[in-house]
Amino acid sequence: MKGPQIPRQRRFGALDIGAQLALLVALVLLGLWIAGNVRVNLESRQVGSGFDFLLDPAGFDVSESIIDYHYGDSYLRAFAAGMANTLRAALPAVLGATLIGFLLGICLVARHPMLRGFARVYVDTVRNLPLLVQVLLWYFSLTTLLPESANALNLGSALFVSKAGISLPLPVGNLSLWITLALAVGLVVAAWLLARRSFVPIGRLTLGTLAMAALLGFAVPRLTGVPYEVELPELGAYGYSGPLTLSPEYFALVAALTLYSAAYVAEIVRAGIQAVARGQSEGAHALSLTRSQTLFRIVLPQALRVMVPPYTSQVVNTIKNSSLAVAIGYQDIVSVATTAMNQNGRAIECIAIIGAVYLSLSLLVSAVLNVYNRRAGIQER
Amino acid sequence: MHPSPSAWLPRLCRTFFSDAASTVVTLISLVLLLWGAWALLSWGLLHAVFVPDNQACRVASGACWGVISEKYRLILLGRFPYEAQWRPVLGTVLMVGGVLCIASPRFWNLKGLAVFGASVAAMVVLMAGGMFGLDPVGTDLWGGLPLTVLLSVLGCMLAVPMGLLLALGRRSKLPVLRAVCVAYIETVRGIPLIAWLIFASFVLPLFLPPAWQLDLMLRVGATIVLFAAAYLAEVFRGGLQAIPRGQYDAAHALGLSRFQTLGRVVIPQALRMTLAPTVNIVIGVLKDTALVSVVNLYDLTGTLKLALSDPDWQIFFVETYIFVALIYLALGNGIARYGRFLESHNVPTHHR
Amino acid sequence: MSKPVIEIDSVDKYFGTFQALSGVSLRVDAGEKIVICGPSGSGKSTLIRCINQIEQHDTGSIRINGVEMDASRQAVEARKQVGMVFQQFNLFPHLTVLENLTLAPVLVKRKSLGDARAQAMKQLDRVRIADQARKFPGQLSGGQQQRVAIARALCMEPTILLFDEPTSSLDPEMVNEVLDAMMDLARLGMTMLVVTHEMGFAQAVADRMIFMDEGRIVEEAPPMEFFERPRNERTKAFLGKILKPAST
Repeated sequence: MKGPQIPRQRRFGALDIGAQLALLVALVLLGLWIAGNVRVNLESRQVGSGFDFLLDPAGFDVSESIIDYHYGDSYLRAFAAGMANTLRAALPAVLGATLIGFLLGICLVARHPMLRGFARVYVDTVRNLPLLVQVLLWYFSLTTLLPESANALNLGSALFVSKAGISLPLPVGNLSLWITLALAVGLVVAAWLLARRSFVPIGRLTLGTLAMAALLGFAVPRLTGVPYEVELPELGAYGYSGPLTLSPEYFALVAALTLYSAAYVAEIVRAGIQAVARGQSEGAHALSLTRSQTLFRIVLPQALRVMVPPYTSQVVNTIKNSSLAVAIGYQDIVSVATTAMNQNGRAIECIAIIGAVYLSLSLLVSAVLNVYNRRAGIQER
Repeated sequence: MHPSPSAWLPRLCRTFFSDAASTVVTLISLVLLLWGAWALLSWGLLHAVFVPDNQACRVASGACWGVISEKYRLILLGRFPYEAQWRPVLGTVLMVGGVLCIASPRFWNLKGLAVFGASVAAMVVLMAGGMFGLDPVGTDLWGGLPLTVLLSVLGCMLAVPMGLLLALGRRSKLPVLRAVCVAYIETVRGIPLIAWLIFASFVLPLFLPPAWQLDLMLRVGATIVLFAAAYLAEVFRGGLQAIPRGQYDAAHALGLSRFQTLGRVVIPQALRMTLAPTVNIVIGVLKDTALVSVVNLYDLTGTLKLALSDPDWQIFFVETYIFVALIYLALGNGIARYGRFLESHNVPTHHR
Repeated sequence: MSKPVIEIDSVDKYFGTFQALSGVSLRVDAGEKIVICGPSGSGKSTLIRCINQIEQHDTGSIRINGVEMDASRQAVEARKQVGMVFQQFNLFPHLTVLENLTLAPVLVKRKSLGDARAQAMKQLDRVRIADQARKFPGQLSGGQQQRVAIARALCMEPTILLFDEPTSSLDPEMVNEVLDAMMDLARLGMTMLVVTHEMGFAQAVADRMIFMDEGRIVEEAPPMEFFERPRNERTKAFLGKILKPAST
C-alpha cells in the first residue's frame, strides 16, 4: 500500500498555457501588422493622425443643435452637438416607448379579444419591419405630405406644422414657472409614496393629484404676481422657427423609434406579466380583488422584477438605433462623425469616437438600471 | 359533455359585452374595423389604378398600383443587367429551396447540410458569374430581394458556428481566451451596426495593405456575420449555462471525452433550449440587411429608394412602401412561424 | 482472497476550506456489495464521486484494479470499468432511450451501431423496459427513467457499479421497481457500491455496511452485526433515527 501522495494541481496543463501564449502572440502580431498597414495608408493619403484635429475649425454646420454651435467652431464642439442630438432623439423615444409599450403590453394580456388582437397585430407588424424602412416611410410622408411654410397648418398662432417642421410654443422660464414645476414634482412624489405605502385606490389618487395640479397652476401666478408667459413661433425667411421647432428629420426619427421600441417593450411587459405564477391571480381572485387591483397591486410589482434585465437591453438598443439618423440627415453623433471623417480624412479617430460614445452610453445605462435591479432583489445570472 | 350549439351566443356576449367598459371597447373597435376595412377596400381596390399609367394615377383617387407594375423589376432585382436577371431569380429559388430543405428535421444530417451548402454556392455562382459560361457581374450591381436573402442566409449560416465558438470561449477556464471573447462580444454589441458598416466601408481598407482590394460586398457581409455572431454568442451562453451539472457527470461516468460531451450532449441541448431567442436574432439579421443601403449597397431597401428617386413616380411612395413592407413582413412572419413549429415539434428539454 | 478491485487509501477531499473526506480508507473485493449510509453531508456521495473521478481527491490514493486514479491515460482506461447511476438519473433528454444507451458504446468503445443496439435491447430487457426504447426520457416516469439509467450504465459492460442514492428522487411506489433491478444485478455477481437509505435493500444484498459521518468512515461491518450490534454511538444514533421501531 502506497503512502499518501502530495496534492496534485489540476489547474492548467502545459498544453493550456502554450495555447494561451500562442493566442497572445498571434494577437500581438496581428496588431503590429495592422499598425504597419495603417501607417503606409495614411502616408500615401497624406493624412495626419491623432486627436489634435478636434481643436481645428469644422467646415460644416450642424443644423438644429441644442448647444451653441456655429460654422467654424471646433470639431470638438461639433461632436458635442452631435452627441447632444443623439440624446435629444433617444431619450424622448425611450420615454415614449416605455409609456406606449407598457399600455400595449397590458393590452396583450387583456381579456377582451379585440384589445389583444389589435395589440398583437401592431406588435407583430412593427417588429418584423426593418426600423430603417419605418424611419424612411415617416420621413417621406412628412416631407411629401406636409404643406409649405406659407400654407402651414396651424392651431391659432401657437402651433405650426409645415415642411419646415413642427413649431411649438415654449413657456418662458420665469419665477412662477419654476415654483409651479417644483411644487408639481413634489406633488407627484408624494402621490407615488402614498400609493405605495397605503392602499388608497389608484384611480381616486390620480384624479386628486390632477385636481391639485390644476389648482396650483391657477393659484401660483396670482400669488407671485408673475403671470405665465409663452414664446410663440415666428415666421422667418426659411419658414417657421421658434423656441421649439422639430424638424421633419427629427420627428420622423423619434416617431419611428418610439413606435418600434414600444413594440419590444410591449413584449417584455407581456412576458413579465405571464411569468408571474398563475396562483397569484387566483389568490387575488379568491380575495375578491378586481382585475385591475390584481394587476396593479399583485401582478405588476412581481412582474417588474422579471422585466428589468430585458428592459435594460431594450433601452440600450433604442439608444443605438437612434444612429439610423444618418440615413435621413438628422445630425446625431454618427452623422457628425461621418461628415467630419469625409472632410479631414481622420477616419480611424472619428470611428473611435463613435465607438467610445456608444460604449460609454451602454455602460452608463446598464449601471444605472442595475442599481434598481439589485434593489428589487432578483437573482440575475 | 359538450355545450349545446346555442350556447355560443351567451359565450360571445360574455366575451365582448361583459361590462360597460368592454362593451364600449367592442363598439369602438367594430366601428374602427369596419371603417378601416371600407377605406382600405375603397382606396386599394375600387378606385385603384393597376396599369403603369402615370397620368391616370394622378387623376385617380385610389391607390396607384401602377407604380408597382412599372418599377417591380427595379425594386426586386436592383441594377442587375436586364438580360441576365434570370440568374438572381434562379439563385434565390435554389437558395430558398436549400433553406426549406434544411429546415425540415428529416434533413438534419450531413446530407441536408451538403444540399444546403450547394444551394448557397449555386446562388453565389449565379450572381457573380465568371464561370460555367456566365458573364461576370460585379457585386455593385447585385441588388434587391436576392441580395437581401443572400446576406441574411449567408449571415446566419456563418454566424451560428462562430457564435457557438465565442460562447464556449467565453466560458473557458483559460483567462486569455475568455478575455478575448468577452472583449469581442461586448465591443461588437455595444456599437450600433451602422457604425460598424461605416467602419467596414471607410476604415477597414486603411487596416489592410494597399495591395488588397477587398470587395465592399465581402466586407459588408463579413460585418453582418461578425455582428450577429456576438449576439448569438450571448444567447448560446445562456443556454450553455442552463445545462445542469448532472449531464456533464453522466457523460463523464460513461467515459465520453470532453469533445464528445460537448458535441453530443451539451451543444444539442443548448441549441434546443435557446431556440426562441435565436429565431429572434435571425429575424434581426433579416432586418439589419436593410442597413447596407446606407453604405451604398442596393438591397431591397436600397432599390426602394432608387425606385423612388424617379420624380414622376415619387408621390406614390405609399404604394411602393406597402409592397416592400409586405415582402419583409412575409419573410419575417415565415421565420417566426418556423420558429414556433420547431418549438412545438421539439423534444421537451425540461430538467427536473 | 482475490485481488481488490477498489483500493482507497487515506483520502482527503476539500471543497475550499471545508473538508468533505478525512483520511478515508477502504478496500473492495471483486463481487462485493457495499452499502454506504450516513447523515447528509457525511461525505458518502463525495467518496463515490471521487472513485470515478467526477471529483478529484486531494491527498491519498485511489486505485481501480490496481491502476492509480490520476490524469493519465491508463486511469481513463481503467475508469471504463466503472459505471454510475445518479440520484437525478441524468438521462440525455434530447435523445431517445435507445440512443441514450448506444451513444457511449459507439463513441467510446467504438462498437458498431448494430452491436450497440443489440446490447442496448438486451439491457433494457433485463430491467424490463424494452418496450420504451423509442421514447424520450421526458415521457417516462421516474422509476422507468432510473431503470433506463441503470441499463445505460450496463451497456458499457462495467465490472463495478456505483449508485449515488438511486431511489431518493423517486415517488414511493416506484422505489421497489428500481430496487428489484438492483437486486437482479447483485445476484449476477456485479461489484456494487451503493449509497442509500433503503435499509431493507441493504440487509438483503450487502456484504458489508459502511457508516460515514463528517467525512470519516465510522463503522464497517457485515449487515447482521451492523444492524443488531452497532459498536459506535453515532452509528446507534443514526440507526435509531432511520429504522422503523421493531414491533415488540
